[in-house]
Amino acid sequence: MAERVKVWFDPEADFLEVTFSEAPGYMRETENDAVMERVDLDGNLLGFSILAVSQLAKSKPLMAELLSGKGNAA
Amino acid sequence: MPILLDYQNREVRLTEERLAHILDHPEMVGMEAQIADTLRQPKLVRQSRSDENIALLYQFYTQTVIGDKWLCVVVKYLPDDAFVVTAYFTDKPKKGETLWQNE
Repeated sequence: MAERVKVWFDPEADFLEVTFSEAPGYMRETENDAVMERVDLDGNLLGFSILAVSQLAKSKPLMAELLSGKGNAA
Repeated sequence: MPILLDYQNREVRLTEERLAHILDHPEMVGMEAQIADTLRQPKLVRQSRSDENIALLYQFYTQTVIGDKWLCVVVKYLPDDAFVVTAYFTDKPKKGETLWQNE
């Protein structure tokens, strides 16, 4: 079954956000300072965001581990 | 476009496009006043470790739709400009240099 993904990129702010679900949630730190994961209250992954996106091109590929499992969030 | 004031009386712009994106998250609906309050009277301000021009302004709120959480307002400060990048709830402030703290 196809899943809908929403991608928001703000070039002036150099900020990218990807959303898998429209459910309420909050942002949680990952091991990579530039990356935050968005989760619901049950820990299901709802999306992620990346700060300072343009710096990625100057270095190695971005690696971040999203700790939450992608669950059945509404 | 709203021009807000931060904790050091600096003007910070919040574009309608960015505000609409912030409020697009269901837990942020109706949080415009709290975003402005956090900018004006944060409990904690941390320097971003990803971008030296970015500061993370935090205020703690209880009984939000997702429980007790920190509201983070992300602000980019340039020599002649300052603007809100985004705002979100989070479980704890990010690590980094503390620029300001309201004890």
